[in-house]
Amino acid sequence: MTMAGIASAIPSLTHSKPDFNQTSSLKKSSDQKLIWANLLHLSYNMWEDNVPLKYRDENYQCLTCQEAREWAHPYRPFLTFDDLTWNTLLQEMADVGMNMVVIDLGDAVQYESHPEIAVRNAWTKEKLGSELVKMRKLGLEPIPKLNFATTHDIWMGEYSRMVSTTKYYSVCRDLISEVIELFGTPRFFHIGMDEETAGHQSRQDYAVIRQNDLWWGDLYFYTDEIEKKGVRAWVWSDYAWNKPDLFFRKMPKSVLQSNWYYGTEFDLNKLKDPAKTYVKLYNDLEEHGYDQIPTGSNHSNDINMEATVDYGKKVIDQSRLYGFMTAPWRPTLAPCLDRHKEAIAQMGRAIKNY
Amino acid sequence: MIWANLLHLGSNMWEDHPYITWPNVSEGIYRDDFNCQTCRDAIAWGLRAYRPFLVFEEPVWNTVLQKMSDAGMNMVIIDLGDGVKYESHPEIAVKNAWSVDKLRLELVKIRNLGMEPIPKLNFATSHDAWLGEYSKMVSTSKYYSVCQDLIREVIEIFDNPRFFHLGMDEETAQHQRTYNYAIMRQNDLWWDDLHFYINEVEKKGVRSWIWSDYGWRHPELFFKKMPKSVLQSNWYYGSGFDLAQLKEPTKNYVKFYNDLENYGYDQVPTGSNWSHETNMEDTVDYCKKNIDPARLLGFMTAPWLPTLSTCLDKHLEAINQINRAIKNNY
Repeated sequence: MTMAGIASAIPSLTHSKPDFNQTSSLKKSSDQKLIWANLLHLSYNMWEDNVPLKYRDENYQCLTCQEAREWAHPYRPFLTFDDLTWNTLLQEMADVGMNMVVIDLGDAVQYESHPEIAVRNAWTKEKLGSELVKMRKLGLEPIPKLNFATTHDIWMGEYSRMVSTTKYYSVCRDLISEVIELFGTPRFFHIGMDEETAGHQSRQDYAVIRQNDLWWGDLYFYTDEIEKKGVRAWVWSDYAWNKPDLFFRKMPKSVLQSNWYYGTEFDLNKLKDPAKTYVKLYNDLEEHGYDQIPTGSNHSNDINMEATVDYGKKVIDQSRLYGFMTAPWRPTLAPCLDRHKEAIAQMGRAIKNY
Repeated sequence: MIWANLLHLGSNMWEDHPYITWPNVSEGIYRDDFNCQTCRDAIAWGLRAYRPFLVFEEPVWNTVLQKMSDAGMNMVIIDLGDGVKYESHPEIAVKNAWSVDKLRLELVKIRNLGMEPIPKLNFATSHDAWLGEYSKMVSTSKYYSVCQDLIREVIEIFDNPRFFHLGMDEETAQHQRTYNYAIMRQNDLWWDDLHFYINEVEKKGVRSWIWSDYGWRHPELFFKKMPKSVLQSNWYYGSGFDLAQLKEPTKNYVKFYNDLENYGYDQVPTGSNWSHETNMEDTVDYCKKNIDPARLLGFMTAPWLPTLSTCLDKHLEAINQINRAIKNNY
């Protein structure tokens, strides 16, 4: 192994904590519009790397949204995406006053730097470019998401089985750079980084967990690659649920935080752990001075999203509350159109009542 | 009858970093230049923690080999790891690793002492820090190619040994909870990879040998999928062997000797002086009673000690225990 290889195999040494706890240059200006975002999936290869017997038929006809979700959830070597559904959702989002689309890209783009990652029917960069134009015309800001958590990186193909190697860092660097270029240097880049635990990978054939300083070293690697292009990194905050002390000591303030909680109860006096910890992290992030985009969902119930907005508005200072995101966690497929529309309608009501 | 001892040439089969947080080990144990005064420190420093150099003292090795031979032992299982400068993958070797020529000379020495040298490369992800960067590429085309090369080269160096120990133990999140990097192959992938290693070994006319503890956690799968051609080493290091008195999970570990016998697997039961001085001889007693001689190929002691002088006495104890077992039983 070369010295460079050795060095890159020890990210805690090469990717040390950046000194960007100063957020003055990132401060939200008073006239900056509140973000109302929707997380939509272009790729859905972010979970199981194996397919249950029931769904091994590629042409399985999904009758319900639940079925479509179960069908699309395991690894598929082709795009699980419906253009018509996508177009309808974008229009509905614009109609209710939403202003941001966070696109989980995964393996659904024919990256020029790594075409081997793309699934069948993945978008060309020209197709992605024209869709970005369409979104902007609708008043929606497109934001890329590539989830680098090992729990959610099946989209990386064989590279998901060489995490934290020289080759892996090189591929991630290429992808981050290309996506930033494709998106015309977006304001944010969501890198996921959620749920990297054994429990969350219990059904996968191949489970990987970065522990101790390695998780942090790799996080700094991604954020450094993003920030050196003038883009702000954005992560899910759930690492802090289990390791709050480490999180608040090591997480740079420059990284935009999306804590998430999909339950119905928000009263900390009534909640018990672990749910209490999930909700309280909104308060903890605020106390430690992090910028936030609280994330709700209609994944579990229909009242969470609006309740998340109420709660976030109460406990987070306006200067650090960048906005809100709904994460419906459903594939962009016709059987889930109504579910997606419900999520958008919830955001529409939250915007009106804000 | 096999009377084997598991000795370590390579030592990087546990943590992928030097920071051991065991109780009762000396401060500063993380340092490469730490001077171990006790065997416990030496285990933490030299075996459990990652070291970029060979953790091995040749006089200790020579003494242990001679004592084994004197005690009537007839097999040395050598955990090679990154302790050899493999010609196919020299990038794996740690500093001061043995050259292939040096290894060959040592194999001759072992044979001249009346002992059979058997190679061990542990491919369990919980014990493959020795693979260096390849341990972070498990189940990729590059990984399979490297494993294929190593298995082929080691078989050649050992002149087609009777057995090749593949390890394959403890591939769980719990066993890797202190590592920087944890990998678990689950579902069919663990089996597919096991069959890959076995095939690479068997196509050279060598018999695969593994630790059997996967069967503790997944007995049904184990007995459905584990080929009978694979030699089994169940292991248990406790002091009680009475199934009526033992509680789970310990009972499960001991009972697995019986289960393997009931399913007709060949075994080399493995004891140790890791936890108790009585375990090795009790292991021999128990298995002699419960395993048909046709399937009981012998016994192994696995002291889990670095080949360092601070642990020599403990090595010698392990050999003495086997010596007493040989005298009292065979």
